[in-house]
Amino acid sequence: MNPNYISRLLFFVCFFVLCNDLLAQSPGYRGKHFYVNYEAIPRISYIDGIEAVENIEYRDEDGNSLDFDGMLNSLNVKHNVGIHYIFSRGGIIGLEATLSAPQYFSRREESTGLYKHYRSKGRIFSVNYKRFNFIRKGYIAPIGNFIELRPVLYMNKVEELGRYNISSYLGNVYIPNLSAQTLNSDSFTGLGIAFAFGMQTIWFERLIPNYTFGFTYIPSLRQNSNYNLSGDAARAHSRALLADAGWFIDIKVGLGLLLF
Amino acid sequence: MKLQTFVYFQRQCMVSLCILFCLFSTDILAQEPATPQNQSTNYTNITLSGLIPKDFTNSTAKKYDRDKKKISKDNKRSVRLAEEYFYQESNFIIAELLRSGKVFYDDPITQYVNKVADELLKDDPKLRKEIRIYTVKNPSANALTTNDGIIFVNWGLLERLENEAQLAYVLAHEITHYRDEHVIDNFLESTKIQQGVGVYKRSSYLDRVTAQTNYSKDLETSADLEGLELYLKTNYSTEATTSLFDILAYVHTPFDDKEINLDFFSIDSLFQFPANYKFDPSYNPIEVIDDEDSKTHPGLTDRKTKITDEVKGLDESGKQLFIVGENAFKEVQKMARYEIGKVYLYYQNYPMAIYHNWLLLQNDPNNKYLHKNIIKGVYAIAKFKNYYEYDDLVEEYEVSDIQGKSKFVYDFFTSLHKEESTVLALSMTQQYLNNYDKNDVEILKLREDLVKELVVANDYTTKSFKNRTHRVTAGKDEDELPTFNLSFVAKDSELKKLIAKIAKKKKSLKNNRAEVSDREYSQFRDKLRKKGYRLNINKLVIVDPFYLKIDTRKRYPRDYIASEIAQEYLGEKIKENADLLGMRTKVLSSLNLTQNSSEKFEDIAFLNTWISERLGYGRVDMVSIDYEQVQELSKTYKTSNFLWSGAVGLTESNAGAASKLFYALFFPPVLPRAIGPENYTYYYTLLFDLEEEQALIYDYNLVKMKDSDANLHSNIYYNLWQISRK
Repeated sequence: MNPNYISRLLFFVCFFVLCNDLLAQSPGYRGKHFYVNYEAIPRISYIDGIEAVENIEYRDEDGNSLDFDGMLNSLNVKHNVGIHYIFSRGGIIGLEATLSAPQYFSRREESTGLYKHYRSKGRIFSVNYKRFNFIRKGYIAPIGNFIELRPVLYMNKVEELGRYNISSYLGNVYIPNLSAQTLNSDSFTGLGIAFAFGMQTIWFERLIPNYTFGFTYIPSLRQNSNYNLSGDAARAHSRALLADAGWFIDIKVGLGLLLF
Repeated sequence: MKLQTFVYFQRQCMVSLCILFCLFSTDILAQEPATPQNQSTNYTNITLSGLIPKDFTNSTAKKYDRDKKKISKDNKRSVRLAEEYFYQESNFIIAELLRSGKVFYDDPITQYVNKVADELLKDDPKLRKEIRIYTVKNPSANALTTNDGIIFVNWGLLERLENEAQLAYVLAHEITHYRDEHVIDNFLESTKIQQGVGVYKRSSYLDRVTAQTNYSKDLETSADLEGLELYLKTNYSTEATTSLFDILAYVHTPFDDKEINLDFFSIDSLFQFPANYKFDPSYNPIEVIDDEDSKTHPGLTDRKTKITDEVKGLDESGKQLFIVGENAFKEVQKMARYEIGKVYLYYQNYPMAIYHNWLLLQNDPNNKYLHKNIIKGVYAIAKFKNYYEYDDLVEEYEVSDIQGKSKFVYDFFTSLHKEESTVLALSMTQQYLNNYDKNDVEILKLREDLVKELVVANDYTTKSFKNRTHRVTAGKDEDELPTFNLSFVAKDSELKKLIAKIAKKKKSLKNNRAEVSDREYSQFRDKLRKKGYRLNINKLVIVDPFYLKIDTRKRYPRDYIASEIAQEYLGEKIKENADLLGMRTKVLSSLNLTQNSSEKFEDIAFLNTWISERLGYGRVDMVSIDYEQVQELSKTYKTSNFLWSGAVGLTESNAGAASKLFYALFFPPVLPRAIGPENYTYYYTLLFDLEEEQALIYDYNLVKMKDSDANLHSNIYYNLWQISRK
């Protein structure tokens, strides 16, 4: 693992531990509870600080291509499910998995003029820590405003589905040919950290509506080396690696269900 | 933690909690009604007993619904709204007063007043049936009528009247207010004036204020004159109608004005004033009050003149000052005076309590009850002086305006040094133990606490108790100082042990008395909440849960109906959460009283009086006025842990909605704050150990959220969990 990753990871782990200080906690709401939570995440991706490098394709943690020319690159809905444990009046800890439907995209290959079509699958696993401990503001978990810290592990796969000439490409929509042989695939994993503000409450003693607004930070968006990059492009990519990093805006709207 | 919590808490919470508690503060005391035969040596306070009248037990919301039907649909909407709110507010305020425990319904005093009313209305049984009369433990000389026929007569009025006929005239005046519906008329007219409706549409502000004052005064004059008509139908003497106004002209002074001097404070061989002791009290002459500046009542002289004109030349033959009975009147008046002697202690007017009880002592020199009240008054002054809080009390007394001989007591205690006050109080306790009852639990407890005060606040050691004969003061001759003899303390083995015990932890005890800054309090509270309380308490009595809902966006912000419903709901929720935690709880609520639950009512009233008293002491760690009864109560409920808990839900208009919307463009989390009103929930918890009279938890939580079920549950559960946790 890149030493940069390790130092950043250590920083976030320490931060996480510090947040979870040794309060004489009492359980929030009515005792120590588990709840399951579903969140819909309309995703707007934003990339900053990276200049366009020809032939290098950057993707977000879902594997979606990021367009350097504009801020708004993709808009889709991801689905986040998790199980959470209210362990104190100030804290909830949870395990989450974020899934999204496979994304399809295409890219024109300069040398042949053909379009390469890809399918990307993204999964994110995260540890979610919500802290309600604004003692003077009086919130008691799981009710009130909170800050959320979420170290994430993203595991993505981009598969090349085939090359087609322009005639087989219908507008902006590619109809996948399931029988098409996968020509190339690229898996990549990485770590990130998400930070958010949110609020939630309880309805009917059972449901937990919630929303959060925050950012996900991906330390590096580098391309996997499996890509057959030209020498120039590889060098450009290496240069970009030194500085590139990405911030993504997260808006999550969710509903939880208290279990026991 | 106990004392520290107390000290720290008061700075931040006292004001808000006092506001909450004054809504249901009470002054109810001991157990058995007084009997004439034991009054010369002792007196036992009147209690709430017998069947509780329906006025106390009926649902206030139902009363409001019934009254709402009286509203005429022909009125303008604004007037109808005002009328609706009047019925809502009056019903709930009266309900609060009725349930406060200050209002008595079946005691000898109330029974007597009702007999006078029977006499007054013997020709109008229908009206008599509509009128309900209760008496109120309050020292101010006043009576009050409600729109639905309840008349409250303060004991402070009864203690000052000279005869039964005067009481009858007061009742006739109040009955007229009810019969002629003055209360609602006055409210509606005031509303019209304030809103500038009808004939007031083009009136200036000054004209409106004048109109409001005049209208109220007209109603009072009408009640005086029409009340007189009712009164003249009886055999009560007409002379009383005019002499009543003379009584009312002196209600700002005690019921008598006798000269008290230093001899009373010279305690046998224990505490003496030297011959050349310098103390020159200054007296203000007693002046009559005329009330001519009052906004509600005409001047007393005018009223008296009008009544004198009306009764001039009337036949007095067969007219009497007493019909129910002179002895009964005197008995009732004596009881009222004895009761009020203690009420002044609750009101923290200690010099007045001392003077009032001293006045009564002149006719009853060996009465233990009166002696104890005086000792409790001197004890309280000594304690406040040792905590350097007495000056604040003196400011409230407005001593320079006090008229008559009672000013001696105020001046005397102002001049006395803290050490001298403590020694004086200690000497008085010893004298009481020697002369009246050596096993009196309350006086023994006070004595113990005063010894503690001398050790902690005045640096006494066992040796000091043996040898010190006067206060050590530089620049003052010894022969000008009071002399002490506290050797009895050094001879008492229990007290000696106590001194040794206190001396060991003197430093921490001293620290507990220090003034605490807001910042220190805040740090302390955060630390305490982080650490957790861990009280391991599983049995609790929950006293009168409190709830208040306020919406400042509305013309009438306080929602009485919702508050009452929420109050009942809160009690259930506390119980529910306690059950979840496996705690054994009993909820004492004045909302679900039945006619037969007078014992429970008495306990609630006593507990609310007690908590109100404790909060009033601020950081001064006092022994309660009713220490003995407090101890008995914890035995009755088999736990010494009593919890007072409540919530206030506040809704306000969203002042910065536009700017929040603007900020939300850049930082979307602000968006929910920009929509809808601003809501706050204030939840407080006070847990007391009654046996030790110490606060175990003083905690509050202010959340910027609506007082939803979830919010309440969180707070309730959190607090109970802290209490029950090992």
